[in-house]
Amino acid sequence: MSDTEVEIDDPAAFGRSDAEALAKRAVARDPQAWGTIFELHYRGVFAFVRYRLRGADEAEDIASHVFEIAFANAARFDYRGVPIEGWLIGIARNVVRDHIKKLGRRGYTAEPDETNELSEPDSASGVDLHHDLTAAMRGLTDDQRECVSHRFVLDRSVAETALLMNRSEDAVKNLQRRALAAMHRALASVDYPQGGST
Amino acid sequence: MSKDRINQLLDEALRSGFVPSGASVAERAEIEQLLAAAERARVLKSALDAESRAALPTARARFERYVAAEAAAPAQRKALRPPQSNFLGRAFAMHRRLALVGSAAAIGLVALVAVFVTQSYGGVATASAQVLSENDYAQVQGVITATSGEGADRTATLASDFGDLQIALGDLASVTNVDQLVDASTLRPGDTVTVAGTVAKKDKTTSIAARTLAILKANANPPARPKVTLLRELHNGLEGRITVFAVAEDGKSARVLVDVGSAEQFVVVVNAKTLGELLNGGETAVGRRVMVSQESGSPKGIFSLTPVDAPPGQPRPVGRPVTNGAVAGLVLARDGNVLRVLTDRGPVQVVVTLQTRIAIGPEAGLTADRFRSGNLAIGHTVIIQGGVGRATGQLVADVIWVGAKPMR
Repeated sequence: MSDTEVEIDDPAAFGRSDAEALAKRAVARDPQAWGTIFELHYRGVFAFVRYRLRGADEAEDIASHVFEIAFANAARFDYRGVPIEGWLIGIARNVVRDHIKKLGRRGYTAEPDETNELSEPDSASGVDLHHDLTAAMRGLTDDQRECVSHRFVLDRSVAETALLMNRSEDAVKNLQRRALAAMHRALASVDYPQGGST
Repeated sequence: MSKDRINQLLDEALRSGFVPSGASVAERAEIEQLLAAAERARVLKSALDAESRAALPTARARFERYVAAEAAAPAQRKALRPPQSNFLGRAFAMHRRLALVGSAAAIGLVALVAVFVTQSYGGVATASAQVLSENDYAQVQGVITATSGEGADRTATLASDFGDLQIALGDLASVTNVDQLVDASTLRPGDTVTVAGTVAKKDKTTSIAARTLAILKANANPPARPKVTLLRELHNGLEGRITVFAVAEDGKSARVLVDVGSAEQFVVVVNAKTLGELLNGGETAVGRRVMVSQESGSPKGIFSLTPVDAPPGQPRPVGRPVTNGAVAGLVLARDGNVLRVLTDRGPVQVVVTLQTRIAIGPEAGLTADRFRSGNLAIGHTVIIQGGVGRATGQLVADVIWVGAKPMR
């Protein structure tokens, strides 16, 4: 199966040998390979940066920038069983950190932009839940937030999350428990309908 | 209740959706709270999917343009290798704290060397180091002394006022002779040229990945190498012809080399306003005759340049037209990394890459980072120099000078 024929909405459909071949082509800066990588991993990178930044527009910009940096430094990617998404997330982590530092130096904060918080219409309680969930995500540590994104927003298994975060599965389970406990505490004062309202 | 026990119960509950039957009352209460939090966290998924789907087309188009622009600039890419960690940093890389000490020691060593270098300044090698730095955008005038290679691998040796430079004439380089585009193979030893591009340094060799190269005249002799001095204090009546123009990688500083005659040239660090004036007009800064002055309140060692006429009997000194890569106008829109700029010739699309130097004018009212990100560029006046990618036909910016928004 060629890279262009892969089910690009489903990174899991990409086998190890496919991923290795794709990574080798990526190192050679093959534009078609990078097109595939973009389709496979944009959502994951966007999810990683989304809850660290003020809004979707900023997340779109930073996520795009991550792929540009990755492409520019493709020759430095060393594929030894490390998923390319792990490398992209590593770049995203640095880009977000630098971005927030720069915002801080200019007197801005990375607090949510209220006008940019939601991308879809929702019921009143849904709006409140989204708002409070986003606030609750911001109250987590970086690792906890990353763990919640992988596990509950991107539906990744504990094993996949451990691989992408370069942690043991036990460490991921600990992070997940602490993150959910912190979210529960943050949301405990409000009584939302179970399952949200989207 | 041990943490491992709760982790195990939570793991099972997240997979099955139910609290395991073996859980105690207290364990059940805790797991139910964690499951409720997980269920709420999953609510974020639908919002994220919607946002991600909405962002994808624009982001994809931006990335495709970036890849196309990068593919069109292989020579530039070679010249812009990411900075390597320093020797002492690598030597101590086994321990982060020691690496920090190594870096500090390296900085100290560089500072110490700089003291000695500035005391004995004037040699060709040190002059070159002062005039051009790694990843500068530079315009340099000189005489071709040798050519080699073919096609995208064609190179030339340029004898300049401060030593020899290697010129890489890759796919993106456009060569002109009397304002007409010509093939790079027509370049001959003895040609006087003005070359513009990105500076790279390796070992003791300084090279420029050319964007534009203008052949000015043939059968010239290589220049003598004058004494080169960094201008720290203003000399009254200091004027001369610009032979080198360089903009730093971060766009925050620019230097020119001014030939004042009498076998002496000065490296002059110029302010942001002068940088905009040097980029403006669609002609190279190199070749212009200028007077050096200093604005009141300006930091020590930062100067302004004012155009002046040539001495009596000599032609008016001007730069060469940048025939294939200079625009000035107003930013109308931004789509990813492409700016749509309204010029007096109509709208022009300009690709901004990671390597584009963003120079902020004194009245722009924003920073380079803010110009790069978001839509804050819209409405600002800009002056741009770069090169047209053969593959895309789009202007890829080397330098963007950002001015104020026009008054309404």
